[in-house]
Amino acid sequence: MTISPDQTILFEFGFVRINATLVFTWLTMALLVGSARWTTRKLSATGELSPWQNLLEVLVEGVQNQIRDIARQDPGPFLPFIATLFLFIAICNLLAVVPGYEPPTGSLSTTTALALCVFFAVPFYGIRRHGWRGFLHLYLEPTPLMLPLNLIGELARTVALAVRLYGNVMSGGLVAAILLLVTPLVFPALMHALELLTGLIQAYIFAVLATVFIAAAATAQEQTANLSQSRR
Amino acid sequence: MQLDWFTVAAQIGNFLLLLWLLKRFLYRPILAAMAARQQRVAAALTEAQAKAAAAEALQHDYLARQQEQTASRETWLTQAREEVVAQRQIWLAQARTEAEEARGRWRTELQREQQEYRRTLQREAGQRLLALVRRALHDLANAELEAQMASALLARLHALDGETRQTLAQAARDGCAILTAFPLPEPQRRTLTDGLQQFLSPELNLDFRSDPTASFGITLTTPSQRLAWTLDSYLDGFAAELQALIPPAGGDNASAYDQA
Repeated sequence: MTISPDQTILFEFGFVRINATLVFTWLTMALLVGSARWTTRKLSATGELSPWQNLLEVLVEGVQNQIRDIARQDPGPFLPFIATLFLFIAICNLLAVVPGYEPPTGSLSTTTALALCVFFAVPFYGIRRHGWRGFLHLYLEPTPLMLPLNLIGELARTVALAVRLYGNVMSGGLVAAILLLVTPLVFPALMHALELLTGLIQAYIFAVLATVFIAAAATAQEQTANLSQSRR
Repeated sequence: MQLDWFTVAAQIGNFLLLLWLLKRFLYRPILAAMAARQQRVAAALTEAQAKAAAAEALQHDYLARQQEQTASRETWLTQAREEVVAQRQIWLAQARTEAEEARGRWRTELQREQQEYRRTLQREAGQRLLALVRRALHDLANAELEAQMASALLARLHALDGETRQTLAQAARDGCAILTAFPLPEPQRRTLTDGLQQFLSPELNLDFRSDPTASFGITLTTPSQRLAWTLDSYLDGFAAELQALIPPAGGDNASAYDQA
């Protein structure tokens, strides 16, 4: 029994190792992009909407509203990043019920990669919005002595993001596998249903936390700028 | 927990690729479609508001025109009522005038008819009186009365002027006759013969005739002259005088009526 799909190596050439995580990631990406391309090929701006277009619009609009509620600012710049995080994690987790499919989110490498993306997205959006100087000044607040703690905090929350998602997804699969050994009937199905719920919740939590981190950086930067102006 | 850094890097690349692909094939088209729909809805709303505004303007215009028409209708009705009242007054005045004129004509006609009737009555009374007198005198007439008239005729001959007498004498030479209603007695014949021969001509040859249908009196006739003393001539003179006093009906007043 493998804990992580990383351990399933399908192809290896030097340091390049194509494992199950990457393969299922590509499959998921192909599924997402293919369905998006197929749905948006004939979009209707008037009259009746197709069910798929309606679903995608509800999804996009829902993400927009969530970002707007959390960040209290225009969701436009954050939408692609947050929505992609949510869609990728949610689809990976939902497909976990498909026999033979191993969710890439059950790999610590994947969750670390996603957490690193969030880690770099925070300064990216912060710098994009307020510039280098304003963003770096954030780590010196409230006093330059707090710089180490701020940096540790950044790293810690990135690790927490990665481990939380990995732990939940991996534990779900692990529990299902153990239950399958102990009680082959009923319980594995129930645990799979529960796994669908927890998978969606985890995707939501990851996306919400990413939004909070990105928005917190931007908001903190604005608050810092306001405080500096008031001191002057 | 195993961490494969190659997988981490590859997953970062995969995620960024997925981000780019979804941004290109999902978010952008979906957001564009939603924005287009919003624009369309906004345009439809704007158009609806414009149409509503236009409809409101039309309604205001219609109401204004309706009020204007109502006002003009009231004005027209008021004017029409005033004209009707004025025309009614004019027609009433004309009717009164015509009635007054008709009444005047009627009064004139009535007066004329009354006068005509009075005159007709007077004339009828005069004629009846004349007829009565004539009949009474005819009833009283006889030869002796006509003999008395011979004297009257001779007296009239005496009253004639010389020229008339000469003309009468000239006419009597061709023949002369005495016409009476009753045959005259011989003494009156002789008296008349003598008297006429004395006044007109000694060779006068008289022819005495009697005609019961002739007027009561004596008439001297020559081929060209005629001298008479008859009751009818008296009565005719009286009738002429009566007619002179009483104009005939439908005279001056009738012409006055026609002029009116």
